[in-house]
Amino acid sequence: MAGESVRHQIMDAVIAALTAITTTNGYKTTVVTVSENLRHWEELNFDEFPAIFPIDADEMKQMGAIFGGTTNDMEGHLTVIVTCMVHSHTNDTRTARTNLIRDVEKAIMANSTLAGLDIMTLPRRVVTDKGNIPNYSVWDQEFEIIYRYNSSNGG
Amino acid sequence: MAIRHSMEGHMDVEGTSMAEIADITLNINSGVAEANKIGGTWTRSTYLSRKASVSVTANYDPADTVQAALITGFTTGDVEFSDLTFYDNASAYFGGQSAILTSASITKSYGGYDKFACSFDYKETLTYA
Repeated sequence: MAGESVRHQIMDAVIAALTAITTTNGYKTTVVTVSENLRHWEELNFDEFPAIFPIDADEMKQMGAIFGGTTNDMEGHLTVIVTCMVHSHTNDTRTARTNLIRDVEKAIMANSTLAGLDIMTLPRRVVTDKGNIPNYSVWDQEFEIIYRYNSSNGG
Repeated sequence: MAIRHSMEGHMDVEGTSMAEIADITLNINSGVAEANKIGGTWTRSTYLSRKASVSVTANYDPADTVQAALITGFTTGDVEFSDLTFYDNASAYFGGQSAILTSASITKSYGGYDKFACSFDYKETLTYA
């Protein structure tokens, strides 16, 4: 089979979209670090914030149509989790946090490359269960990316 | 064992498979007349004729050749199709005869695919081959 899997291409598009979060591109934040290798917030230098760590996570698959007359007959529901971290020496992260939540959602929902690969992208939830961490805000943003592929090729 | 399932089968309109089908239903009905005597203990039924129809629901795809042809059929009034064939697996099929498109609908709702639904009445004999 030629090329990478659709799942791989989706992650390429997600990473590219997140990397483009800069004030120059019309966002409220300029992201410094985008990496698939998740690190603890205390491992990061202060000049590496804001930091974003996307990962392709759980995926549910089901038939998209009766197989006989349809080429892309399978449907994947891929969960992409974007872990975000901001830092403030004065322990005032609310504006940076809410701006970046909005920027991440905007970047993924407005990405044309991703739109060419999937059927629908849905923001599912923001999970701020990392506890009250002095000087940091750390949270996950989950997206459900629904895409189609040919069962005979795999997704 | 010859159980049919959703990983096989399709529906062709004039030789072209319709894409994105979610479900297909073939209905076959017998017409029955009743001629009852007042006070009779049993219904007296007389067989008249039979009729076949097909209803289909698909994920709405206006770029699909068949879905586009059906929409065009309704918008132009040309609702007779010379060949409607319902394959219940790769090769076994009902129909192969002409049919009249009797209804069509397009439904949009948030959170899922838009749906295209339509139904046909066969004009004449239904066969299974």
